[in-house]
Amino acid sequence: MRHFKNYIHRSSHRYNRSVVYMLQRSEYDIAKFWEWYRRIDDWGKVMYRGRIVYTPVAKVLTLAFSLTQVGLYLLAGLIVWRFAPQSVGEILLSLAFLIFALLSIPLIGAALFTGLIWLGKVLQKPLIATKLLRAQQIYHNHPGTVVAVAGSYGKTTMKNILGHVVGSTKDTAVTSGNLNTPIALARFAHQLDGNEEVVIIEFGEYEPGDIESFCTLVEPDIGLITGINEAHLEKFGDIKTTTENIFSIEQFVDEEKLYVNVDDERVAVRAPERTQRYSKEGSSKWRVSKINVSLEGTDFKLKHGKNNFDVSLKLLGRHHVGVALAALMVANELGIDIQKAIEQLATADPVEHRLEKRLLPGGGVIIDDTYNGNPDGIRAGLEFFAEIEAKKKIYVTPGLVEVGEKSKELHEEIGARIALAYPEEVYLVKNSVTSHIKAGLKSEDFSGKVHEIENPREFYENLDTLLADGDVALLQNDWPDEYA
Amino acid sequence: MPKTVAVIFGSRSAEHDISIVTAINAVIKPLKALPGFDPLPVYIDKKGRWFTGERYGEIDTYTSGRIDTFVNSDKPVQLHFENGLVFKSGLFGSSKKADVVFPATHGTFGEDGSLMGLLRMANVPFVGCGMTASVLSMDKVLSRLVCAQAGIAQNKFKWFYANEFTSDQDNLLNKLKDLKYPLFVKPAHLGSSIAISRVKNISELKNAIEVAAHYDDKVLVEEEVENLIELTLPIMGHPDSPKPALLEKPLADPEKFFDFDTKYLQGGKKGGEKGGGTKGAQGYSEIPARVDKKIEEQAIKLGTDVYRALGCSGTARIDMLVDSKAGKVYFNEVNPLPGSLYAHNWRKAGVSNAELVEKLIEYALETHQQEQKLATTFDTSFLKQF
Repeated sequence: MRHFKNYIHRSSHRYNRSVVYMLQRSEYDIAKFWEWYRRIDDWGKVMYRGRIVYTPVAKVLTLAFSLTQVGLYLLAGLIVWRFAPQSVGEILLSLAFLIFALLSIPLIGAALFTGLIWLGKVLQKPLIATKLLRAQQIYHNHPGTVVAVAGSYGKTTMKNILGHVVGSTKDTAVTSGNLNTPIALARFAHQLDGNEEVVIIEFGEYEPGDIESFCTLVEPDIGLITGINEAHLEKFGDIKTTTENIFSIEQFVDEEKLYVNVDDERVAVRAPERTQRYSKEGSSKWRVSKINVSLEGTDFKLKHGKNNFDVSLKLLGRHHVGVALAALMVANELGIDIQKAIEQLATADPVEHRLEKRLLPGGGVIIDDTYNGNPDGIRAGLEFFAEIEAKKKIYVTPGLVEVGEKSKELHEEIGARIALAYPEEVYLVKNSVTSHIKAGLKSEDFSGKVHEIENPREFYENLDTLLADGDVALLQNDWPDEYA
Repeated sequence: MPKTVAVIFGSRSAEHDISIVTAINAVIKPLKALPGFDPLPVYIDKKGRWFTGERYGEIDTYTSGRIDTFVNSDKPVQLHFENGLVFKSGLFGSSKKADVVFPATHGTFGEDGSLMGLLRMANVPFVGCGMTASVLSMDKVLSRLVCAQAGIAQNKFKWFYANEFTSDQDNLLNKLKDLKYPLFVKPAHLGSSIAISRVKNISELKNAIEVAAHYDDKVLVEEEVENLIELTLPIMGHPDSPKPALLEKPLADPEKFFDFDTKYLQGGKKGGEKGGGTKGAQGYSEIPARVDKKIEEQAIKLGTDVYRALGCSGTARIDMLVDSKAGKVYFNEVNPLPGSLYAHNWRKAGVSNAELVEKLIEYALETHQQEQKLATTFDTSFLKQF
């Protein structure tokens, strides 16, 4: 029955949309697409958590794929018509062919279509290479200070906070969103007018050697390493490769101009002695004390030389102290007045969906941390959740994807940390790691309620109804359809 | 296995549209967030036809006007009473048995006890006030008479049948003579302040009675309470153990009391824009109401006494009138299914909308279980004599 339903789904217009959605979610990586395609056993649930974003490319692809399908159906009909079956045997043979065509055209169509995309990408390669070369020239000739932000996690927050602090005093350009691929950085180069005093660039990590390529492209003057963890471990194989990949930035930046977050143990161990080591405790020249964390934000005292400062952040969580300090250290390096930078820091908003506070009209607070998809981010969010007070705490997560072989161990650890934040209720979006989180909760004798969510979209849309005045819900990470 | 909760709403009522908002926002939404429940939207259109299907549980269906197309193309649902309540849609459509019913209808053909009677016959657990409490609560005259018997304080009132006004107007007006103006004229059964008028003299009184009689067969005329503060108290629980939420004060000018237009069409803004309030189903209001401690205690006691006297269960909202100078609290009326369940008030009281819905379902199941223990038949030899 299910197979029959699947065939029906594959012959509907929904299938065409699903294929384009899958391509979009796979970032047009054909291998990734087919790996996902192979795993699908219910075509009715491909777009379960998300929806296709109709960009111009997606619109063209949807139309093109539909036309490919129609073309193939017409071709099958034409073959039978040309064959002109007359005898019973021929008619039966034609019918069998038509049934075969009907059942296999969706698959053949997808294969043909993705083949065309692959071909397009191959043909595009020389064009991209030329674009990157031109971008390299732009960065090379640019007179501004180029600041590169790298790490397995915390990059976007670091980049945004730094951009916010520096941008009020200096002409600053910052890469937008999390557009951190080589081609995105090439496009960004073309947007620079050459008058910027500071250019802040976020580096993505996709495969071994890419940070080196990024550095060759943009030639950074200052580097920031925010942290190293198991994120994308499936692509790097082991944590050592990830570490060396990120630290390849040291070949391009003077050690004194490399700012490293030593709250992260892996960074602390690997970072050369002369780098600028910062943490929530301070650095060699800056001392942090009296950190106060609440739902309103984070406050602390800062001492630099003989000067004392009160720092106030809207950002939630103790881990933001290190981020704020790094931004102040770099701002100071760029010649910005510290007091002015601190005043600017106080107005910085969190990155969208990263420990972002949302007040519900009827009371209750939602802490949206759904773009937090890495173990350290989850730990930091949970540390914050454990520190704050609420009438009732609700925790929601599907767990993490792409964490390699350590998934079981990691999710058990997350479960234990959730238990130690003492939420009254835990909602787990059901998937392959749910049992590990539950085991972790059990290991800490969690006594609250644990619920499993079967329909995440419906749940998230109506989540606000779970909260009363004084309640707080923390939502960590999202589980994309491609990992279902 | 998730419990199927049939949420019945709409119906042939002046409050049809309000019921849609209650059902979708205050009942279906939380049920979708709560694991263990499967909401089944059951919509009754203005002609009294019943429909079911996922799209009837989406607010867009109604705001976009697509509802007219749907009810004209869909086949009304069939109800079966075998072993509970079963909804069958279409010739080959699937059947769905309700484990519990959540009535979300306001006003006539629903909240007034009609639906509760049907659900009692089907022997299915249902949320909220039972048939008797609904009938009493929705009849402002009956509820006042029961409360008077229970010794609950009320402002002076008189009541009559609409026909009495049309047949002998003078005699009737004569009977109302000892009431002191200004007066309020109310149809006995309508909610949401529909057709309620405040009158200052006999000519206004006649007009107001005519309006009320146009909507209802029974009319209530009552004296205005001086130095008025309106208070309302949502309550949940079984009749013998009522649990009050927070006292709420609608922020309206008493001169421009909350009529239908203020409550729903203007978002409750009339006289209440000065701030300090919460925008709930009833518009802007103060939660908890800032009143004298003695008034607060009196109001909570009066509210829970009314809930008990009328035998309310699940949830209800008790409206009260307060003479702020005299420090006296009077019973006004009961709403056996408050708009949007008064979830905004419960949220302030620390009960989320989802917890409220879950709790109400729990009460419904407990009540049903208790009812099953009661003997409903009695063996006699009565028929043998024939």
